[in-house]
Amino acid sequence: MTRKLAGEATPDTERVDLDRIYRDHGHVVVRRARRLLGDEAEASEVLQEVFLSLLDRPGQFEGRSAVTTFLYAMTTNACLNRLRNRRRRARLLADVVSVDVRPDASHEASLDAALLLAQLPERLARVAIYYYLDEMTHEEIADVLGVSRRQVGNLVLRVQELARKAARAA
Amino acid sequence: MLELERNRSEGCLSDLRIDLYLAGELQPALRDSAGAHLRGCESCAARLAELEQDRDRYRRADRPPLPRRAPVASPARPRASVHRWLWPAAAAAVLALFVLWPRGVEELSGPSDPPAAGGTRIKGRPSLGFYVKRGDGAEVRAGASGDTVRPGDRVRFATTSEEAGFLIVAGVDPAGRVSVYHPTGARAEPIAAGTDQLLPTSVVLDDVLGSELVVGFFCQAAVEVSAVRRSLERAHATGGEPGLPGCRVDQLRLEKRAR
Repeated sequence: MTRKLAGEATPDTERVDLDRIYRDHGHVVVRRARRLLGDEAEASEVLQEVFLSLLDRPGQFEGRSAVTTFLYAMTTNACLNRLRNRRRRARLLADVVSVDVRPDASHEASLDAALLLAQLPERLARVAIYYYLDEMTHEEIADVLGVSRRQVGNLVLRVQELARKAARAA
Repeated sequence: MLELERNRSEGCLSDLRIDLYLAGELQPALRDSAGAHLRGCESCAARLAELEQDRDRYRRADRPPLPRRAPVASPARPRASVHRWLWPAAAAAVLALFVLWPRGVEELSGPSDPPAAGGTRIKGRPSLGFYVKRGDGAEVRAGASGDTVRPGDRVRFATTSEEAGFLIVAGVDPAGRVSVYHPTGARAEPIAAGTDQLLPTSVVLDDVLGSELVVGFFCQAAVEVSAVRRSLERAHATGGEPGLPGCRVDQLRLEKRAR
């Protein structure tokens, strides 16, 4: 994607750029959505959703990051919107949750912990996904979120703190 | 205690880094270090091959074209010689089907925006649009009044309105039968102001072919669905326009054909 998208581009230039991005980078959206949602058909819908959104508001891309990085962020947001249901989020986060439970802890307790974790505020949920599911570096997360590495560090700490609370509650 | 795990070995590349590498979007220094790592790490090289294959599959796939802005629904232009009609799926099946659709795709004033009397456009006039999802495929396209749809397609309506209000969407077939698509209750339901706001449910088209007039009633109050039914029945019987006091109306027509 080029800076043209965010500026005074004519509809034609927008069209050309988005066509190229759709063709060259669309696989990133599909694969990511497939992973986060676990559903091929829904992943294809996210592809449409992401590009319809770009057609409608091309200024969303400000050229501050690579196209791929931008699409990672957009796709993650689109998927999280679809994962509003707490149990769906819990299933996603269950991939990265290891519950070293007490000997007497029940499986239910583990599920409860995952569910509590699934209640993370939107921003922290994104950080949890980037850090634990994608295993990105702080630098990469900073690029995706458009924040500093220091902020990423703080956000990761906050996620860990909430995870500990979730564990105690479980 | 509950722990969050990271399993990637130190120095190994994330999918993001590999995707950036594949796309040629890494800065030279990062590209060089990623390349060096990929040459020496079997695991990351394997992942690179996987992502490459995934990309190639996507590019080879018969994927629907890049979606375009959704056209704004235009008022119905009844075709006197057409005697086909469309019928909604059974209400229960309709409501059970909740399909996720793209959001936020159109502007209020498009090329097909309905002209007001005298040929000028009415700024802020609410409009009814729709999207069509074909069968079990992934294609979701924006529709426009007069579009052809097929049995098995899922149709989801969307509204554009500068003001919050209340909405009823109903259709009438050539035989004068009225079907209410939204809401499910006895009164109009609130809608927020906004562009291209999708309704919560979709309808699945059955195999009865024909043409149907679909009308959106954008009202200031929660009018009764029964009043809309009467309005549509009366309009059909008299050849007049449907309407209710305190409501603005937008219409579209769907043509349902087998192929």
